Formats: sequence, C-alpha cells, structure tokens
Amino acid sequence: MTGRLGKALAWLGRRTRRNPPAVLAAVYILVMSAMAAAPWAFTSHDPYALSARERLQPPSAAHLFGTDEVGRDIYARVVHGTRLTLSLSLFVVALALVLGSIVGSIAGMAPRWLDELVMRTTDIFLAFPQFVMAMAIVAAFSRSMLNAMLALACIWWAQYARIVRAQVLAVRQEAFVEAATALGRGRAAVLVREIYPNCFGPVVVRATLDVSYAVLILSGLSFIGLGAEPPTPEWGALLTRSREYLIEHWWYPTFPGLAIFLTSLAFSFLGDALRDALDPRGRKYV
Amino acid sequence: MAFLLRRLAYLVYVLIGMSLLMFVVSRMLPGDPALIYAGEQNVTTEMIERARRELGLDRPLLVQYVIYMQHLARGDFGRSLVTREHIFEDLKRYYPATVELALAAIVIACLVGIPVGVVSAVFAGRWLDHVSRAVALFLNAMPVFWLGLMAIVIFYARLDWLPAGGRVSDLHREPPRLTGLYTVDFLAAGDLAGLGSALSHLVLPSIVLSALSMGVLARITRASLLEVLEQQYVTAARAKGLAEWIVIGKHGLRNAGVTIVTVLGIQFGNLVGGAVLTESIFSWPGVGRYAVRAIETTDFPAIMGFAITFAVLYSLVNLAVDVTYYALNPRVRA
Repeated sequence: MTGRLGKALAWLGRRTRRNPPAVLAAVYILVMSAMAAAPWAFTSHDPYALSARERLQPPSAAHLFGTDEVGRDIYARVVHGTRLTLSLSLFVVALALVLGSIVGSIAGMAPRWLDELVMRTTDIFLAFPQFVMAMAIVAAFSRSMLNAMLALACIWWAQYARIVRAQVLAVRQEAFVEAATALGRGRAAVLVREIYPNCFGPVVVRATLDVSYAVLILSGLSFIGLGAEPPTPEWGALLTRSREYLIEHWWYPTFPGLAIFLTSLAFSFLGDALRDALDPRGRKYV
Repeated sequence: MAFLLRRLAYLVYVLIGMSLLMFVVSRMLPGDPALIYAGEQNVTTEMIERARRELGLDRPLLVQYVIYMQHLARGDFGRSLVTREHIFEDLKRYYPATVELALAAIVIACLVGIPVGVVSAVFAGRWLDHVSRAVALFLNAMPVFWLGLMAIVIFYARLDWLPAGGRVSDLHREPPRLTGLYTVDFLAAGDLAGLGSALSHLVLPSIVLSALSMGVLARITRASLLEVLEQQYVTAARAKGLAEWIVIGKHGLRNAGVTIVTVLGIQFGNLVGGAVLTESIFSWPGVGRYAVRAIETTDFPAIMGFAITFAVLYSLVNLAVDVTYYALNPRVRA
C-alpha cells in the first residue's frame, strides 16, 4: 500500500507542478511550517517582551511590523502565533477526518437501519452554518483555543462521514473488492486495503480546503473572544487588541490579518490545485 | 404537496435534534448558570439553591429539555441571566438590524458576483477570466473581520469618507418603528436626511459582509454557466442565429439560475455567521453583536435563543430555496 501511496503522491506532484500559484502556496506553507516549528529562527525578538519606550512604533528595520500598545514586537508575535493557528487548524481537520472516516465506514458497511441512523445524525450537524454552531459550542465550554478546535471537530466530522460513506458504497460494488472478498479477506482488511486507498482523492481535497476554512474560523472565534487568552500571541486575538488603536496605527491590524489571509489563501490554492489534478473534468469549470 | 410535507417534517426533525444537542452541551458547561443568575458576588449557598430551583436546574436533564421546549413553543425563550430581560423581546429588537445588513450584503453580492461570473464564463480562459477567478479566490480566503478593520482604517481613519460604526449618526433620531429596517422606516417617514445617514452607515458593513458570498457567487455562476453553454440547446440557439447576449441571457443564465439560487440559500447562512463578526466590528446593533455579548457574559439562555431563532430562520430560507428549486426544475419532481 505504501508503494501505491508513494506513486500517487509523485503523480500528484507532477500534475501540480504545472500550476504556479499552487507551487507558490506550497512554498509558503513550508515556510509557515518552519516558522511554527522554530519561531526563534525567524525573529530574535521575544513576543512577550514589554518595552514602555517603544509603544505603538510604526514599522522600521528594528520592528518589521511595528510594535503594539505595550511595546511588543508585532512581527515576533505574528511569527510565534503561527504554531498555534497552523497546528490547531491541521489538527482539527485531522481529528474530523479520522472521526468521520470511522463513522462513515461503519455506515457504509453496516445494515441499512444503522446507516440511516448515522446519516440522519450527520444531517443535524450539517444543517447549520459552521461558524454559529461552533460559536455556541465553545461558548458552552470554557473559552480557549483548544475548545474552539474541539468544537469545530465536533461539527466537521459529519461531512467526512458522508464523503467516506459515499466512497465506501461506490467502491464496494467494484469487481476488485468482490475479488478480494472472494479470496477470503475479512471485512476490515477489505476496508483498509481496498476501499480506503480509493477514498484518498475526494477526502484529501476536502481536507486541504478545510484547513483554509479552519484558519479563518479559529481566528474568527478567537477574534470574538472565544479563543486564545491574552497575552498569548494568536492572530485573531492580535486583531482584537488592535481595534482600540487602529485609527492612528494602521500597522497594528494590517500584519496579523495579512498572516491569516495568506495562510487561508495558500491552503485554498493548494486544495484547488489538488482537485484539478485529481479530477481533470472539474478543471474546465471551476 | 407530498414533497413539501416531507421537507417540513425533515425541518422539524433537524431543529429538534439541533436544540437537543445545544441543550445537552449547555448543561455540560463548567460555569454554573445558577451562580451567574444569583449574581456572582456575595452569594450564599441558599441563594444559589434558590436560583437553581427557579431555573429548574434541579430536575433531570430530559425534563429540563421538555420544559424548555414547551416554553419555546409559546415563544418564551426565558430570561437573560445577566439583564433578566425577556430574550424574545431582545431578539425582536435586534433582529431587524441584522436582517437589514444581511439583505444589503446579499444584494451587493448578487449585483457584483453574478455579472463577474458571467463575464468570466463568456471570456473563459482569457485574461479577464483569470483576473476575476483570482479575485474570487482571494475573497474566499478573506477573513471578514480583518477586511472590516482595514475598511475602517482606509475609509474612515484615512479618507474620512464613511462612518465606522452604528446605524445612523447621532444627529438623527431613530425613525418611527415600522419594519425595524432603518432605511425603509426613514423612507416611509419621508426623512431623506435620515435615509442618507442610514445608507452611509450601511455601506461599509454591508460591502465587507458581502465579500465572501460575492466570491462564491462569481465562481458558481461561472461554473454553472459554462456547463450550460455546452448543452445542445445552446448550440441550437446559436445555430438559429440568435445574438450571443440573448443566447447567454435567455438560454444560458436562466438555466444556470437553478444552481445559483441554491447557492444563494446556503450563502445566507454564511452571511449571518459573518454578520456576527461584522456587527461587532462596526458596532452594528444586531443579533450578532447580541450573541457576542451573551458569550462574553456566559449568558447561555441568550445564546440558545440566538442559535435557535437563527436555525429556524436558516431552515426556512433553505426550505424556500428547495421549493424554488422544485418549481424551477421539473426533473427533481420525478
């Protein structure tokens, strides 16, 4: 199976290479990942260091993105905020994907009544706008970035359950699955070795696009006070703080917001490129 | 008819499921509603106990839920834990502002998004198409709250062209309440200066809010129009010698319209989600800001009230979309 996966990845790489925005997006994501892993390599400033003399300074060589109301370096705070946003966004999608795949496979293989039950439950989770739903759930738990992430995973598992179930139902009919069953492979083995590899395409596209939304939703929740607590450097929370100062100090909201925007954009470019690569028919239209 | 009944039954099912989910989640919360209700300072255990009894928190969860739903059926959302106002009254006061903002945003999104999508489809593969697709993608990834802040920095702080918050300037009184939509109410009262002020306050928040839906609409219009333009009846229309704009308008757009309407319904939900953020940036006194304030004070009945009314509204809009879809597209009737 690893051989097949490797081949699929190499093939994907070949197809996406002809798409310059996607390459740019991939490079940006790599740089952001490096920032998340080793923020100190990108800035010598301490994101928590206060400096009364340097309050609300405009961008300069010393402070690339300027400073905030207590003299902290905004560039350092944006760089150090990368880890939280990026890791939680990836994690929420991974969690939703795993949960959804489990539920989806069960529904796809299960007797009809169980399938119905599962699918009608996903209906409830998919029936309402994610932001409002996530807002209500985090509000019920205590406010923290982790809870915001969990709330989102609570909602998003449903769409993966649907995708995986649909794929399972479709692939189950194929001759190679029948062949594997005829050869005496158990249900679980058929699921893992024959069916999952065939779910790869749509799930990976959905997941990449969802990271883009996760970045927006998590920082949005944080912006309205349902995420990171001060003084944690977090992009949405930085924007909240900037609101009192933005009339006179344009740089304060500009750079943290740009970070959110570019990160979300990068994942949506990548997701689009993956979809084009995996489904050449869709390329013509969207 | 059977379709409509099935759809209604489904709506009721989803709403009950959603409210049950929310209710259970709300009762798992670590913050004690009785404590908030009793007032957080200087409370005795007896006061908390009494608050708990008053709020019915001493009963089993399922009983609490049934009681809550019984009240709900009578339009009683309970009282806010913080202000002790009737939540229903609060919502009635704040909803019109949100509706006005969302309507303005959806109109702007359609007026810009659909033509951009059409142009993109007509010039598919050429530079105009590339530019509009890029813009649509950019809008899709745009954090609405950042766009709002930047709009204030540019159009209020720098250029001083437009106001940055509120629904009407302090110089004007609120219009006599008719619909709760200030623009309509000012117009009805014949107060043109007031109307101007209300409109100028509406410009920034509604444009900011429309951004996301605008991108989605442009993409969907382009995609569905391109798909339709490949159909044989379009080729036939062209072969008849019809002018290209008639082919696109009459044969193309009308058939692509089915998809666009569906997406518009879904966008309504995103719009209200975005309104929560937009309203808190522009101090727009709507339900979004109400919900944010409720969250800040852990006022769960108020959050519940917002979520449930919103869910009902959202479901009704989607029902309307489904019915339109059903009416426009005879194939689904089969």
